[in-house]
Amino acid sequence: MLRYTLSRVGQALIVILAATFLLYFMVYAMPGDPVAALVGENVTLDPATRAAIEAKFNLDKPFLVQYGIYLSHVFQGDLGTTFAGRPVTQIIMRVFPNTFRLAVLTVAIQAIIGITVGLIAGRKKGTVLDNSIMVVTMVLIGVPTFVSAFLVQYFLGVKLRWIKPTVSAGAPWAELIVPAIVLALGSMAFLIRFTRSGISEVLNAEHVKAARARGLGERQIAINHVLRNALIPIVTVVGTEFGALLGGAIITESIFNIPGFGQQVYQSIIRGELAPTVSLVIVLVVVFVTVNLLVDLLYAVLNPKVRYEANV
Amino acid sequence: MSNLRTRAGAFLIATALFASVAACSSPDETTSGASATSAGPAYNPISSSGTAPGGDFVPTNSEEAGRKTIAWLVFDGLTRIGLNNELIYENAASVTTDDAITWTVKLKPNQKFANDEPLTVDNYIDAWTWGSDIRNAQIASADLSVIAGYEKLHPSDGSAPTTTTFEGLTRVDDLTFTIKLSRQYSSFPLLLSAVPFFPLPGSFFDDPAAWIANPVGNGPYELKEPIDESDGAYFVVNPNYTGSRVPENTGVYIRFYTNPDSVYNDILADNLDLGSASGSGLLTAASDFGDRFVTGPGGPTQTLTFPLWDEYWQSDAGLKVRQAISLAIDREQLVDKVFNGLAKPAKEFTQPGLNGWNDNILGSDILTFDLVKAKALLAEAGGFDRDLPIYYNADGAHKDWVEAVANQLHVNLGINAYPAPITTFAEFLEQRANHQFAGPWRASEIPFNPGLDDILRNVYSVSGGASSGSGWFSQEYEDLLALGWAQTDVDQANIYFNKAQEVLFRELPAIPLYYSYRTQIQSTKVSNVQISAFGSNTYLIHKDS
Repeated sequence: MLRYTLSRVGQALIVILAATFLLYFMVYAMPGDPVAALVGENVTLDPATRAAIEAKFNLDKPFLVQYGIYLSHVFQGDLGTTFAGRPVTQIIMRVFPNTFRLAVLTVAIQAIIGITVGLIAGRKKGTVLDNSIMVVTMVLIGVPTFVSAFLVQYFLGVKLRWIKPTVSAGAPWAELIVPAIVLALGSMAFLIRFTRSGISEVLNAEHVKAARARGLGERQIAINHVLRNALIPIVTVVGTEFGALLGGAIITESIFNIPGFGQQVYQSIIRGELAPTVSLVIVLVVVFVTVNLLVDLLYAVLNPKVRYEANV
Repeated sequence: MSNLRTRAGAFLIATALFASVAACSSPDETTSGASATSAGPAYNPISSSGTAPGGDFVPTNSEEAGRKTIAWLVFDGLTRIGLNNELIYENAASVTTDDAITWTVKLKPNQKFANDEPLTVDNYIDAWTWGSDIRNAQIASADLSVIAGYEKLHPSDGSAPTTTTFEGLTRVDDLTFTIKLSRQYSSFPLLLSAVPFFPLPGSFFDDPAAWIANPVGNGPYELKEPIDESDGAYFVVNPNYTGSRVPENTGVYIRFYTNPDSVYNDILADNLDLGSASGSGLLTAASDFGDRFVTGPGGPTQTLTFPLWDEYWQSDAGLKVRQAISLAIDREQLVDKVFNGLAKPAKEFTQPGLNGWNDNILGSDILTFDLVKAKALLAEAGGFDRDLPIYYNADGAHKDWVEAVANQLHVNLGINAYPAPITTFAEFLEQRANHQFAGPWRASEIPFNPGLDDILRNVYSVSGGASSGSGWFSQEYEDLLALGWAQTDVDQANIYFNKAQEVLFRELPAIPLYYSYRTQIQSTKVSNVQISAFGSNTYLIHKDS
């Protein structure tokens, strides 16, 4: 088990290190001039000031040297600073909780509504109810997030004034519910369809027929014998969705003005800030790799077959 | 099946573990929000949309809206430009000269910074010296370059400075100092109102990094707490302020946004007090906001600038084609159709609202739509069978009007004009600097201080860096500007500046298209909103506490 753990941790570290290099290179090779972006439109910088700024942010050095400086700082716990002089670690501490709350709510909404509705549709396959649900999910999948976000903001926030059009400073839980619903819609529709087909498949499985033959009630069969088995792949999907939400909620974050991770990455890219962009994305990589690593390790704990195979 | 189940279970546990770690590490999430309300019932700041500062906030490092907004809130300068573009003395009691080169500044007595430090001329001299020193790499220091000795602190060849004092600045007493300029400059009192000329308190020089994290100035407001780059900045009224900009509110909250539509909806729902309408909001603002939608001059002047580094455009035929292009653009139609009336056809190269602005400069009839004359000029030039890409940066809101202009030229003159988008502004600048443009590009000009000469110098004159990037040069133009600067009377100077514009009209390195108007939308909670071209009055509006 120890050997297995070590090899998996080693692999994860290599993935993260390789990712820093790739990312650094990609951001470095991005077209455009970061100093121009820093200084803004309509300003012609004299060459001396430009040189001084380039030196300050190490932009004048060759790629590998820049990367080396970056990496050595990272190993000292310094993830870089933005052009505005703010440490990236501080930014992460500030924006991550916002995004995290949004992701938790989104996944919860997706899971609860998606699985419940999917279960109903799966059990009533072919009925009017099932068909209506399928039509609705089709529409939900077809509507892009920025459209639904804007419509919700306009009608609930401006016309009806049920919510604030944007989320207040600090992004409290209650105000994140509506953005989370918007963010959940598309994947929720997928989840409904996924659950529905899973359920209808399991419904015809031998063990369900056996349960029914034993005279168990439909409700008991649905929950204990059908849902439990159909749920396994679904939960895996929901888990990955959570990781994707941490970095991928840029549009929703922007429309509801939530200072989140995605927005921060976007801003850093727009400004051409090399170290902050790489550091922020690396945090996402680390999240993904860590979650996967934990999954694999726990998987080995829970499933002796894997542990055994790994030792062979 | 059991494999799947264990894997799913593992995933759940892993996610939960990770979640708890992340939750533990989350800092106090509602710092700004909570303290804003707990500061007492009286604090009810005006909320306004803004953008996060793009770099260290120091007046001499502030070029973009984000930092300039902060600068105007927490600082006051020697002079200020009022709502009607008039010159107001703030920290200065007087700014006088006999020769347009050596200026004597006297400060008003008993002025203080928000941290109770008294304001003396040292705060000005030290701030300008520090800001000009190349070792501090301040991006807006170029405005100070008019002062004698700048070159020694900021050698243009990139070598290290040989001094730490500013030769042109001489302290007379606590409240008096003289400024020697490197050239005659009649608009200097106007320039003194610009952000890079603001003073800095002694606490800045004790520890610049600490000060930047929590700036202290001498303006109508002071920061309530350090700026939160991911949320916004809270300001309270500065009790030590004695200047003319007296706030009719208890404070200001600049909230950072990245999406203009969200600003619009927030103001519509009274969730935000102030912001500007842009993009699609411009089409609906008048009907949504009625008289809470205010417009005023002060937006950029948009031009098509030509690559005069190209031999063809230097030639006589090239000039005639430029004239034909200018005459063939129906500016009235452009501003009506594309900007819904929120822009005005350009009449010259600067913009309305500037001291000395004149819409009837000799040669400016080239900006009036006249297809007959345009076709005649095109024929004289021997036609135009080259392509005419019109370059613009696709990350700005330029697509619609560039397409409209290209279409007008295509239809009216039958030339192959088409829009040529460049993905980002940074890339756009890079390609322009490398002379990769094979046709005109869009360029917007904003005056940084309210003299007519500001755009004329910064954009078209080599003495100001010629930021148009077209490579155009005219000695006559430079001479006329120099004559204007040699005056000690601003009205007299403006006559020469407008004569210099006649040269621009003759040689047409760029074609002025339209003046964009600044817009402001406001909630129902505020009143007395004022638009000043240089932003100094914006947050003084009324809001009940």
